[in-house]
Amino acid sequence: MKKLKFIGNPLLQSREKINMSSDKKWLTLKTTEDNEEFVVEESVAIMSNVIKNMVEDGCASSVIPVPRVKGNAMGKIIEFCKKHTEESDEKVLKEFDAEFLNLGPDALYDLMVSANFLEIKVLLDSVTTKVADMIKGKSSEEIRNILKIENDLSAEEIEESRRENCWTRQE
Amino acid sequence: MSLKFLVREWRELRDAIRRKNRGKGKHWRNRARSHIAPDLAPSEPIEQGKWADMPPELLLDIIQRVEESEKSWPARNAVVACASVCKSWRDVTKEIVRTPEECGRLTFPISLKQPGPRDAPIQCFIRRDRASSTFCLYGSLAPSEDGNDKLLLAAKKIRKPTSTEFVISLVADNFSRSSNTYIGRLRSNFMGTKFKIYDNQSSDDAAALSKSKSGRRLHSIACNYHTATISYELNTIPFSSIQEGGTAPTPMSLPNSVARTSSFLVSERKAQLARDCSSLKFPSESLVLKNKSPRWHEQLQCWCLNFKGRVTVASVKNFQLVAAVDPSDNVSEAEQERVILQFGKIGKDIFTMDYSYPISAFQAFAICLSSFDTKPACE
Repeated sequence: MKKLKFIGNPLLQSREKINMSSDKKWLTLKTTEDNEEFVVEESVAIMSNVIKNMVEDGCASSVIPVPRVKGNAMGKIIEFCKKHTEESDEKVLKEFDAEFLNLGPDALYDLMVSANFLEIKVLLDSVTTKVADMIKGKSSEEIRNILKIENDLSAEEIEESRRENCWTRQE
Repeated sequence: MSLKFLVREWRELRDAIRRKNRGKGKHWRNRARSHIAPDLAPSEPIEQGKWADMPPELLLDIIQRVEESEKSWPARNAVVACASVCKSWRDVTKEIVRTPEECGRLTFPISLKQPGPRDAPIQCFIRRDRASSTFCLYGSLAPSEDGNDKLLLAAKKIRKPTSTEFVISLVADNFSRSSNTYIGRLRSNFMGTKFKIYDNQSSDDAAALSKSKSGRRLHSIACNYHTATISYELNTIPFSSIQEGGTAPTPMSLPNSVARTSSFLVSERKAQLARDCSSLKFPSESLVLKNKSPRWHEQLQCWCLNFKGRVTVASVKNFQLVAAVDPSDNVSEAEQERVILQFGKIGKDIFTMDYSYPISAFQAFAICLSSFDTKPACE
């Protein structure tokens, strides 16, 4: 069963009504990994450089397939882009971003690679800044635990890193 | 009794003591070896999480943000932590972090052996603890109120029958030469006229200094200027490093206990006692530093050196070093005047040390330590 999501006026029920009654242009994005479809205003969708190029090249008339991005990540991305298109107050946007990015490492990772793939600079900058802030002030062991990374350093690298960390702990 | 005879006697005494200690030293070194159980390095390929295998441009972006925002200590620990997470993170972090010459910041221990920046000095201070005969170098302008200063290097002074030695380490609580925090040592001869640095770096990077001294030392603020010569030859830094387009040796990694080369003497230079610098002969390939000549201050009616506010207490220990250059050498006047190392007192047992290209923090610290070695031959 195909899922159809309308990101926009909740009173509208069908695609035809959207096309007839609105003077805005709408696009349908379909995540090919899990077949979720998203109807979204073009002005919001073109925050993605990839989609913007497709629209400008005239390839965006029907459903736009989006590989490598999962449905839930796409939903979050559209929510972000919509807010950033509608709102211009920097303070409001900052508060929104802080709340929006209050996610676990797995969700942040999906958001980050998707924003990178779709070339949404504003979102990518926000996510990488958030990750950098998560890392600061943590030891390498704590970083590994949070991000579920295995230590694959060689014996020589381990000794070198122990010396470096021994030195940084000196005050 | 002639001076030659005395020197020979002292040398024989020194060699005899060395032979005696060699047997003891090996045993002691083995006993002093660290017993911290090493982290086990993986023998089989590890299945990595996605954060270790993320697209390299994203990893670069994240670590770059950490590096650019955490410029000073202790926040800069974050960069070192990133380099210890896993292999991919270590590779990217090492790629991002630039040398002190390029960015004016110290990040990893190897930064201490890399030349300082060309445009402005790295400003540090040294605290002396007379009770324990230790000297600590900190990477701050001056002692902070909360005492939260970044320790860069520590040295312990050890008096021996015919020499004095300063063992230099990355940490203040371990001066064992078998530890991987051992960085090098400075040794003086009995007369206190010659100093040598023993560096645990490889033969391409090791530095040795010799100091020849004559006449009286210069005061920093109101000085009695005589034909005094205090000069240092750094025979692993080429003279060309201060010429236009020149570069100084920049080691990229410290040796570890797995691949350590033993310390050694690069070359021994006989002390040349002379009244003034012009008569001293050094090979033109090596960089020679000499103390900067003070200028006559007409209003104050004294000879002055401008320490730019970084030295506030008059002391015989205060000095500025510039490159010793012949008029025929291709070195600009600005470069000739540029202070490469400045050292001076700001309080009881507190001294500032500002160093810049082409010497490293380690070399600068060693030169400053040599001024703490008071001997009968010195004032």
